[in-house]
Amino acid sequence: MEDKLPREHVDIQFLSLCVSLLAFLGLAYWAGDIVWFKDFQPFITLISGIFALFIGVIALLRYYTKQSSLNFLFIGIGFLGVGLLDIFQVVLDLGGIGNLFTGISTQVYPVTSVLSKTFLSVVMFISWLVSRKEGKSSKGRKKNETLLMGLVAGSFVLFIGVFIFLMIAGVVVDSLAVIIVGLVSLMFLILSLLGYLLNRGWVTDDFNYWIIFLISFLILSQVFYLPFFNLEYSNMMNLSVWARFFAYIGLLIGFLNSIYVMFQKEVSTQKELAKKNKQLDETKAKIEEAYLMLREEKWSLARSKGSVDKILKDVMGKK
Amino acid sequence: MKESKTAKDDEIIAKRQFILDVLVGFSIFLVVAAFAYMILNPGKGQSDARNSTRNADVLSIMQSMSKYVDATGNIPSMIPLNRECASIGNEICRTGSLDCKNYVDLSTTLAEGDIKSLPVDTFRTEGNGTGYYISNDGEGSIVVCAPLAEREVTISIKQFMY
Repeated sequence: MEDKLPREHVDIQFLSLCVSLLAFLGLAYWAGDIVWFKDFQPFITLISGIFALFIGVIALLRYYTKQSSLNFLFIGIGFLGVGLLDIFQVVLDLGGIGNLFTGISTQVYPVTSVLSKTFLSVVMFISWLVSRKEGKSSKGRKKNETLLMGLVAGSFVLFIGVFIFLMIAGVVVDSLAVIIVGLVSLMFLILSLLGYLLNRGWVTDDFNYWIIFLISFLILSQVFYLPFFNLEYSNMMNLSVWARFFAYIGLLIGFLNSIYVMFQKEVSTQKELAKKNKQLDETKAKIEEAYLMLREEKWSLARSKGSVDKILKDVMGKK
Repeated sequence: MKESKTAKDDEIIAKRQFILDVLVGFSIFLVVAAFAYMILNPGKGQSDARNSTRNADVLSIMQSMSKYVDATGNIPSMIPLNRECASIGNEICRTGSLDCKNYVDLSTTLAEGDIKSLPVDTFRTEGNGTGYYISNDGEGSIVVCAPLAEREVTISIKQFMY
């Protein structure tokens, strides 16, 4: 059984998550006044894509070096795919990297961008499903989980159904198909967040917390993308990209932290081993010393009684 | 002695833990509240309303100029020649202001238009300017703009006069 993390540590982690979310929402509220903020949108998309590739590679490496958990495989595949799609979209949009700070995206909802968001959300959900199967949750807890998730999924399906009905009825709403696909992604993200929160992996493993951090910012990104907030549309597209960027940074920190924790465990194991070896050596030396002392005492006793010659004779006689 | 110290430490830890729990709960509430506020965003509604007023004001100034040009056949000479509308020296002077130095004084042109008094931007609380700017682009067009427009909205009208 894994050791529980200190409760204070867990509390501080969740407090920092909430503060980051609040800070980002504050930035979103006032970002409209920052003119240069939008100039970085393609650059941040590109950097996010590169980060996603990094995360994908690290996750796959983690899976192949320690094939303990399948969810690393899914996270790896998901992020590699998303990174490639994001970079492809930026290059396609700008007509080359040279226009990184001057080019403006002509498409409001590029297909690859919609696809990458949906793909990532589905992969995150699958990764949670896999970790759930590997976990040792009680039946009662699993039942509660399923009930809550069913409720959330049901409300989303109802909501999506209304949009599909509007589509069939011929009501013209801008980018209705994108909204439907976006809602599906949002549903998977919320389900993954609920799943990771309810399986309480964050009580024992820091990495689970960083996955929750990633999903929270991905949800924020999706909310800006759809867009649900009453802000300027162009700002929200930009903020959606920034939220994704912070989400990826969070997961990268998570991976670094998990590598550090693994390294620290290795170091403490080595230290423990060295300590035990030292104890063993000391015990061995004490036993040898005791043996020598005993032998010395025996010889001196035998000599004092004049029985050394007798012993020698016995030995010679046996031969 | 040692035992009492440990009990005191435990008490401090429990107190800190309680404060942290409360802070986490409060911050979760704040995040939800921030989400709700951003969805409603009453501040944006007010800004949008002010921008609508600015749009209407810019339009009424332009209509007034248009009537003046129709009546006289000339673009008012006091409108500075400048391609950039929101430049120093292009701001329209307030109606009834005693000192219109460094501003565009349109008081003589108002008689031809419908407006008797020039509108003033809500954010222009001090000085003799109205917050609205006007320029003649030198190609027969007048440009009226409101650089104090909020939320990155550009409010500017260009009209060919001849």
